[in-house]
Amino acid sequence: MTTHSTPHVLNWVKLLSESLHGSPASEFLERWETAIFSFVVTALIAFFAVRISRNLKLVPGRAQAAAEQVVEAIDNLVCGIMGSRGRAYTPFVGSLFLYILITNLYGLIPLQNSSTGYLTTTAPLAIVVFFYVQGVSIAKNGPLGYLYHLAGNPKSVAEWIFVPLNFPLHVMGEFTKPISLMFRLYGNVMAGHILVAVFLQLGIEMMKPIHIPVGVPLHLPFLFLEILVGLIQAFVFALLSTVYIAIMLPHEEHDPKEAHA
Amino acid sequence: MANSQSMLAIFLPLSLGIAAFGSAIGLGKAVASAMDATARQPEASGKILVNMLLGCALIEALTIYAFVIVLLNIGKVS
Repeated sequence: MTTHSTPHVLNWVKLLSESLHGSPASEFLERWETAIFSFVVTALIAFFAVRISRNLKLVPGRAQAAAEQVVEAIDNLVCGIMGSRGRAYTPFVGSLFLYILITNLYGLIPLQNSSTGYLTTTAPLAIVVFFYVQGVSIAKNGPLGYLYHLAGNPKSVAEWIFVPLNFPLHVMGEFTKPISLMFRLYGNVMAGHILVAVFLQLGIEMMKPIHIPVGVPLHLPFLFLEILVGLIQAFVFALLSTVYIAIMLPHEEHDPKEAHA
Repeated sequence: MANSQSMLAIFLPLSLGIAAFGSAIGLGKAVASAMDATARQPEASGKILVNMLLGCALIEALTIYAFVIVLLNIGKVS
């Protein structure tokens, strides 16, 4: 957890903070580095979302068609898991997916960093999912139905006997879900950053003996790996949030096949 | 307490390795089965991919729990 010993790629906030060394602005930049990158990505998404959704046309232009493709793909994913009632959750899952995907990819641009490589960003995301899932479950099941659901939907006498055993297990299971969500995203993105930084350093070190200031781009193949990992992790985060919502909803209208997901 | 510290220094990374070993076997089996299914029914590849990723994420979670335990205890090794 010590940030001093791990190699990292330079980004513009760190550069700015080092050039302003000693002033209060430098301290501010150092402390809020991840938040700054998070805001930049949020601003980017908001800018494009607003620009595209102004003056929507029946026959879409190029940008609108692309946006519609993305929204439709996310909607198909959510509805494929939850059925037709999944449409209500598409905005939540979709914004999670887009934010994480664009943050992951944004970190690969030179002099930029992705905030998902820090627990201070992934933990709030996971906590938001946790409270959203509990809130949806309480709203749809009712408070008593929520507790009944956590007790494992006991029906026969034999099942009621095991409720004291099942209930703590289910409650603990609810709390381990956000932990696994946040550490999966953080671990994958952070490991990718360190990998790229190590190979970047190696490429620069290789060229030092012959005094060439430009390094060998040894990290290039890992950047392509990072594109893939960023896409998969964003997809997995959205998919798991969808499934967590789906299994906390009442079972009655469910497909019998999916009932015990 | 140098003894318990050196024990931790050996076994914390080792525990993560053991957990990752089990996860790797599980992931290998899951992906192999998904490949088989895709080869048999290429038209269902989208649905198989989603289900495979979901299973993979749940298998991975076990290694992540081990990773969390390691992170919680790594402060004791100095």
